[in-house]
Amino acid sequence: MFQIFIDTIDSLVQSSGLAQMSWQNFVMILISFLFMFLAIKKGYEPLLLLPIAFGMLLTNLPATEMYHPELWNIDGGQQIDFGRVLHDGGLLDLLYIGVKLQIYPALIFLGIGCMTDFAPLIANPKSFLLGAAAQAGIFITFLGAAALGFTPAEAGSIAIIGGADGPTSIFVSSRLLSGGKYDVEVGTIALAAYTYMALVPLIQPPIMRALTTKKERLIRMEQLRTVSRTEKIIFPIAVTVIIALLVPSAAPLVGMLMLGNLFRECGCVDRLTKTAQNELMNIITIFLGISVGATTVADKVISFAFVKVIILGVLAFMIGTAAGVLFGKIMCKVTGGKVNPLIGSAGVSAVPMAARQSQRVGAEEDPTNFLLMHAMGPNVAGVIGSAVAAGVLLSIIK
Amino acid sequence: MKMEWDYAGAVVISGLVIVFVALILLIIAVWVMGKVFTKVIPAIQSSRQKKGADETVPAPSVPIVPQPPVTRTLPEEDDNEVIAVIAAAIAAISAETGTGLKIKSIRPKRQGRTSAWASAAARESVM
Repeated sequence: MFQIFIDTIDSLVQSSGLAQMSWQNFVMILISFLFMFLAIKKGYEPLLLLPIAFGMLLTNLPATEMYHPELWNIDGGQQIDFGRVLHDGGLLDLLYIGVKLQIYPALIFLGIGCMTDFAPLIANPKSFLLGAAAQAGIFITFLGAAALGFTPAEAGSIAIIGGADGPTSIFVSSRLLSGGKYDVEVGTIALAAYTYMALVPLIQPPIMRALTTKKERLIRMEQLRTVSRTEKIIFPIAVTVIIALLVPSAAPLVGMLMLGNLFRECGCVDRLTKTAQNELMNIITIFLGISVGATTVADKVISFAFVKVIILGVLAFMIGTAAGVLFGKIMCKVTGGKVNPLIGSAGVSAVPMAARQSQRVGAEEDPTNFLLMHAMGPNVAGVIGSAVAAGVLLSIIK
Repeated sequence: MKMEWDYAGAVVISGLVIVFVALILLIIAVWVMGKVFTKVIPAIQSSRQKKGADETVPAPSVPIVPQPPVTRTLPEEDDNEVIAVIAAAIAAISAETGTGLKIKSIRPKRQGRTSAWASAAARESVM
């Protein structure tokens, strides 16, 4: 009987997580604790960072069987067997289906559309140019990723971090990094994207100050005209039609963004608007965060490839910011000093943090200069611009 | 599969061109819409009003009974306090700047029209 007891204890110990824990798992668990600390104590994007960190913890606790990378990382040419995922998958595999099928990013865009006021962009449509210029960060980083030896799919997934838009990064990377084995994962791309979005207040202002003169930072912009309700209703419909016809692969993101905005502006579906921007958005954020966190398995994060993703990601962000500011300077010259170049940095789509940095840096020179509403134009144009850039990458990269 | 530089360059150039073309098309669409709503429609409306005024036959002199202005009744419980606060704030600004300001109407804001982001940004700017 004693021997049976010893065998039972031995088999329990052997099958426990502690016995199967590798040093990589241990490091990842410590990183997840760090992210939880940053989210809870420092308030860095807690709504997303906390579920991501907890997903990271769950997936790196050995033997929990909640996420199975082998169900998703399959050899090239093969399709993911969703039947097998449903049959053999754990809870996080099931939630991850929404990422892999690009459902969550599109639904997040629906909520973002409900929360976004496009009036500053409609009042000053030239802001679209700044939103387009800031996307240079995406495409220039694509070259950098190519130079570092990444495949086109990996390079596209890394480059989209420069769009400074978490859902767009997940949308592109989950589509491109499908049906093959890659050195980078959707989770690592999302982790880098959200980390840099949280670091916008640290990354952008030094670039903005370095590229502008005091005189330019002091420029006051004319007050924007009032936009009628009819214009606000026509805008999402027109944008959907134009973008979907020109870049069909951007339609899921732009279409949902504009549907959300139409909900908001039409004024007759308040219940849907409130649901999309609150309950639905919160539910999807939980699912997205925890399942993206689950993909950060140790061997994908503790690797040289992840270090390269981190470096390229921050470069993408910096180039996007610089391109926006430089284009703002061009617009400043062309308009005879009517455009403050600081609003150009808001062309990266981190809404509304990027616009707040324009306001903040402008206010450092002149506290009575309010650039926020002017910066919201390029900022929301950046959301559309990065969605278009995502569509372009998806349609070009095979 | 490593990338060839020709391919990478083609992705960059075509990507930037397509993004700019798409957003320039949007600029044109929004600009046209703005012109229609700020110039064309007001012009049509004013010409119609002018035409209507010209075509109006002077009516026989019937005494016009002045109508009370159509006003929206506010719920009374706490709105008097709100109105008093707004009036006091405007009076303070008016005294400070030396400009004469007059309150013509106070209407409650439509619910659900301001985004959480806009509110947060406004709060941050004020505080």
